[in-house]
Amino acid sequence: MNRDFHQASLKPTKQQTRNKSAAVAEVCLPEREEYNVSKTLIGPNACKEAGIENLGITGPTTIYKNLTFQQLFEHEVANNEGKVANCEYGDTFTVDTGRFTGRSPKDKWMVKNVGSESDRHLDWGDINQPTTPEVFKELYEKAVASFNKKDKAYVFDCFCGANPKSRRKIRFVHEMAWQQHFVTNMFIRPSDEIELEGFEPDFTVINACSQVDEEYKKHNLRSEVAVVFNIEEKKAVILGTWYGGENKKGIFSLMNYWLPLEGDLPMHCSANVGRRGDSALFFGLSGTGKTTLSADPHRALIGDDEHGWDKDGIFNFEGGCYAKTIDLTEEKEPDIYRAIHKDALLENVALKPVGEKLVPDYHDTTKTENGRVSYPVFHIDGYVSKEIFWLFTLFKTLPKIFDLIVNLSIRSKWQVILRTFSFSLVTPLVFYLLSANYHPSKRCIISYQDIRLKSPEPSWE
Amino acid sequence: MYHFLSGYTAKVAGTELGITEPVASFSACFGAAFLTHHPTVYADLLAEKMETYGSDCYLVNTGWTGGAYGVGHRMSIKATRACVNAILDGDIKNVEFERDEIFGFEIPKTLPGVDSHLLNPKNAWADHAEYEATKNRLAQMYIKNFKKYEGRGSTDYTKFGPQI
Repeated sequence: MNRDFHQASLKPTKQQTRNKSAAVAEVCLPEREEYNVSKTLIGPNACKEAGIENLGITGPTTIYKNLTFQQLFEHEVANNEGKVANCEYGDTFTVDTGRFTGRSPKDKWMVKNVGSESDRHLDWGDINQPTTPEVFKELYEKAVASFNKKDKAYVFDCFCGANPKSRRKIRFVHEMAWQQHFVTNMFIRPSDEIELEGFEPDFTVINACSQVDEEYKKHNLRSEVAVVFNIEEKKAVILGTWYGGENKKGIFSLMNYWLPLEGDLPMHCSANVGRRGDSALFFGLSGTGKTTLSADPHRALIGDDEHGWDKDGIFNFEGGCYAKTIDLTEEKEPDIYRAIHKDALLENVALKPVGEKLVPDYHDTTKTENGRVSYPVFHIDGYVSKEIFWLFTLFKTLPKIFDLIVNLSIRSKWQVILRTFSFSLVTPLVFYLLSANYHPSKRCIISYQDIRLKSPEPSWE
Repeated sequence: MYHFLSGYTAKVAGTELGITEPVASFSACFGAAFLTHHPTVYADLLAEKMETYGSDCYLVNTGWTGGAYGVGHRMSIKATRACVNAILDGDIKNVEFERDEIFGFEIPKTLPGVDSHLLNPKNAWADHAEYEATKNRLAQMYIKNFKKYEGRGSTDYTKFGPQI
């Protein structure tokens, strides 16, 4: 492999430095534009059409469903939900999540439906604290009532898990555009309208963050904040906290419940893959190097936080990354630093005025040490898209062809040849093998190009 | 599996209020806060997957070495990367190992691109007596933490823990 070539190409030249934000935006443009299943539903039937009427939500007459990245940005600005930070690689929307700048694990509850499957399997204790179906019903009604007082709501349909065999369909109901933006960055976005046809969620999260539980003492809960999951009812309610991570790690907890029942293993780890299709997993807690070590210049990133291991291999649960920004610099963490541009979302990061601009100050921890940024995975150079994973799965039966394709695609000098070669070779096979619910597209083949070298050598010191 | 269940890690300064120096802690499956089944369910699944696919497993120190916090230093990212590369390239299969009697670890004596002095913490620590004392303290912490898994899951992994 020609390593020097890639390092050279990743090092910005003078001219590139001047046009940093334009260059970055151009690279991400196709994937950004491709996510386009947005619908704005208006009128008395809006809730019904969005699929939330059966939850009891009937009040709002405008539903913003799966907004595009551009629409999310426009809504965030128009609703005055935060500020636009002038980051080095492009303008990035920044929000303040209020009092809660981290997860609230002591306010997370699981409904104990006595005698049910989840009652038998859950490891009840400090981590899975039980509450009753009656309490859930009251909190649920509070959440629904708070949405029924509003004239609009944001609804997002997505997937958790890249493998179609075990992925779960998730629906989120949110109050604000930035919250939909967060889940749009973090979860697996639907590819097209067809993927959303007849979408029946396996789980729905009603996030009524501005509503608190004033009766928490009566409910035997700990505070006005409540994050409550009811596995049998396939619903969760979030009250009183704006922190984005509750959505992400809440669904991760559920994947940790569902997958083992099917014999598959969910894992809190990062993962990457080499050119022989050999994957590596990196386990460890926050701050131990998962993200840093999985960003390897010779290997393609699968994901940096939540994965599954099943008969088809290792796959990401997520469609994005959620990185800490404390003391972030381009030298230390180039991948993360360069991913912060249009469509990324900064949380609780201090902004300081420099001339007429408002720039992020990652060293300022006055608000919190847990400043965060979420961004869709295509902001990272060199990752495995869900299409590649599906092809991995397909070519298991044809390993030789697969090896050939992957090997060739990683060798830079063959890339141009490969583009023509793999397209002609693979297309007929893909058409032949894929089931009717996925439409092979040109992108699916070109995505092989996503296995490529990454920028090297961050440092955690 | 013993180490997967133990989930030995350190709370790094700054991640939680009041933490000013790294504190040893245990988090089952390296993510206890998100587990819904008992940790042994995940350990059993990992064991099964690793056996089925013939996966190798290595523990790599990305934390402190050379002495306690304040005396030693954090492993450099360069050395850590070299360790990870030796594992991924398969170079680690061609080197000699030495055994740590308390933890039972097989430690490589040399690895390409890594200062051999760093590989066994025994050599990296300046103060030998302090090293042995700290190792014993840590072994006790492991044993105490693992008590809750004795007799749980399909296999009791207690015997794979430190022996003192």
